[in-house]
Amino acid sequence: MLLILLVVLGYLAARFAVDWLARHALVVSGAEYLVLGLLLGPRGTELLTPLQLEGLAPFFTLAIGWMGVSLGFQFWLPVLTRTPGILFRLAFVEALLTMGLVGGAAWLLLAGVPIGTGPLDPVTAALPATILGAIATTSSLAGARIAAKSLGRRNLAVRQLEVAASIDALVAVVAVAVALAAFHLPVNVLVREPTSTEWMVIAMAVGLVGGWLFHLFLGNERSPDRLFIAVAGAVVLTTGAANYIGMSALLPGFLLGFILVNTSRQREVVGNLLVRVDRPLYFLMLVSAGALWSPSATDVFLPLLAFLALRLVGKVGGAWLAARVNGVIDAFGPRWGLALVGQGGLAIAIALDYSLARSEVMSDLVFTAALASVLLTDLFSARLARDVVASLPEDVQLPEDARPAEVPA
Amino acid sequence: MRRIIVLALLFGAMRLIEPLGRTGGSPDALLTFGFLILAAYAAGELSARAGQPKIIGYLIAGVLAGPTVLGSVTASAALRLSPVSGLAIALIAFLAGAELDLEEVKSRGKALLRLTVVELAVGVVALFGMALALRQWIPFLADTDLQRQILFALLFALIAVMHSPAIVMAILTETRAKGPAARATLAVVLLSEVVVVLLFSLLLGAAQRLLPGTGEPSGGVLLVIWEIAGSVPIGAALGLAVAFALRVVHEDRFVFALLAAMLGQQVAHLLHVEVLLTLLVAGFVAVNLARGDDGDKLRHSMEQAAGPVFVVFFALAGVAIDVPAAVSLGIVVVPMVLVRLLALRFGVQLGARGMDLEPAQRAALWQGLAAQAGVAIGLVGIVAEAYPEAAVSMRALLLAFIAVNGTLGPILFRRGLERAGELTTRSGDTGELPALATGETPAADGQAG
Repeated sequence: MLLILLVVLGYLAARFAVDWLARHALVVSGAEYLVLGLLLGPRGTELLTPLQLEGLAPFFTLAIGWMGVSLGFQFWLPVLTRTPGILFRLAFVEALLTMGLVGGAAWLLLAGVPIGTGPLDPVTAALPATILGAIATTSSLAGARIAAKSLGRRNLAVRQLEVAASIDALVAVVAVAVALAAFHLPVNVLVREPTSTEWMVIAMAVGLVGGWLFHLFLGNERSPDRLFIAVAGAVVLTTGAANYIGMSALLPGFLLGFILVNTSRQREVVGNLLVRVDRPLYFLMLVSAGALWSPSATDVFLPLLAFLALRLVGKVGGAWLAARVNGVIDAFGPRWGLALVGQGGLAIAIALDYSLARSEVMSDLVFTAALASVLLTDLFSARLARDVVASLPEDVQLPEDARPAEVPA
Repeated sequence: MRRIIVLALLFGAMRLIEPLGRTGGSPDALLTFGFLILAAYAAGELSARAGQPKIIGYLIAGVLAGPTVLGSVTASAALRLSPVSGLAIALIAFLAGAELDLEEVKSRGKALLRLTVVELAVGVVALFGMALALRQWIPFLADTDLQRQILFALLFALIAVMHSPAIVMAILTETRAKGPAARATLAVVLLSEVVVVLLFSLLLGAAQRLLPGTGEPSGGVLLVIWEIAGSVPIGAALGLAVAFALRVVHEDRFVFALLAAMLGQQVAHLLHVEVLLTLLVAGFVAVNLARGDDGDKLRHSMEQAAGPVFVVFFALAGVAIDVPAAVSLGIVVVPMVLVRLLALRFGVQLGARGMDLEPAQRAALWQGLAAQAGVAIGLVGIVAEAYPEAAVSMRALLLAFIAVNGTLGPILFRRGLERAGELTTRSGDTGELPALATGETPAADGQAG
């Protein structure tokens, strides 16, 4: 009972500390849930034993898949087609530069420097390096939203940040899927081992079939009860299938979400259902991540610092370069990438997903990098985003040649 | 037709994906879970179209997918999903307690208790006699002395007389029935749960002293009494905490109820008290003592979100049914089921004398008591600790017995409610109808998740 009391007090203290920070210092974080996980886990009160955490694995796998669906749900075509193409170009360049810089540096480091059990062979090192690159690419939408809310602005700069965060997520999700397909473990029971391309196709097919089943299952029904069953069933089935075949649940979930938002007649109801379930699952994922975290300061301190520094360079430098190459540096300013420094739950989801799929290849390092980066950047990401948006004029205008062409009547 | 295609596709998809698994073995828990949700719900819709309760469809989907028929859900996958099933039953108990109205308990409590005791007594006597009469075909009675025959037959009768709060709640939630028969059935089912578990614990405690079995003693009478008596204050404390917390919880009430049920389940395990009774009391206290309309809102949220919980619970219950074993025990099970139904009918007629119930409502009441589900299996587990020599065959017989009653009961109860004029949905309705407690439409609160 004393342990339970300690856990509750620890959680409440963290919760109030985070609430206070959120109010006074514009901090966005789920840190209290990570702290709770640490307190409950094998390194805390041991209320959550490794065996129990293993039993919880289906739930946090579901949280990962659900997050993928929520990401895909952001890609509603009618809104995307109204968005100027230049915003996507900027976002893709920034995302790919960050991914390349961090992933490349991580590969050099993991293949060349003895960390933990020693340097990995160059081929094996590509797997954790790609995952670290994907984690570095992710950005949180929360910073942009808080900036927009606190400044009362809803302009092109805020939209650029939203597009960049969504494209960052897309690039990261695809990179994780490609990495896990390329390094897929043998299955043995098939006549021949599927190739990496075939694994990618299978993973995508799982998401597409999930979306198709949703429609077939639902028909023209409008009852919220049935909608919930259809959505939950499709997400659980898709996530479970992806997990079962040893692939990340993020890409199939993403495709399912994309199908749901673009083909469902009850888009808003489905969106509300996703948000309602997303929140508790996200908290469960944070608690599990906290419990599963095994920090090892001596081994990973320097690589971690390098990861954080390179990510910052990738985000700020990549965004600057993207704006400069596309001739919009005057519109968004040279440091708009600072608003993308914040990281959300997707980084933790990728790290958790990776440690579940391939725990033997540097998963501790990947996990620690993701959690430390999320905890650290969430402390000031909203403030940075607000400063960036505040420094730009209220009516941000694209140069003449970057504006979308008028559609003739 | 679309539902049948969906079912066929789901079973086909499971077959297709099976060889792609990492271990090459059985599909993992999450995949199985997703498959069961969709397959059971599609089967439930088919059942509703056929004018039967949806839970029949959920059960049948579970049976078909289970290890003894098509094998889409293996025994190990079902075992990994048992925490989900445990949570579902905890939530159902919480909801069942929340449906009890304090005023009604005050005004009709004595009459309901008398009815419960009478129908249980008639049922136990009838089943006890039947078990002894058929003892040569019942393995756990055939090869033992008379004293143990009487003890085992009595334990069997006490377990076999139990009802199913989960099935009653599922039917009431599905049909939105809220007349006198519906309310009385729910109250009797919940009261009988307490009475049977208490009697069972006392009988087992006494029997272990008089006729020790080959297993370890289960801890004595005081411990089993604590399991029951301790549930009330612990459930009440949890209910009070929930009622207090409802003052600040204004959104996502279903998620809050889910967390409360999880907490109650864990606390009950830690303190060695009855999980179901603890959550039943917690639900009752929380809703009846909450400030203003907080309790009604919580109940309403739970009712709206109960559908998926029932799908999961009954599909998993179906998976656990061993069809070949049930068929092989048919010679004993069929007469016992018939005797139990007759005993229920007679017991309710006798116990409900003096109550303000019409003949059709009394018929609906005994038909509502016919259903059985997995709670009884938990009691066989306790018998197994003390008398392992009898438990295996007793469990097999009870599983077959419950499989028949669990399938027959919902059909009878729905029909009874229909004849008593208490149904507010017709067969195959889509469910866009007033909710049980407040009369609002399901979309009003938007708490489906």
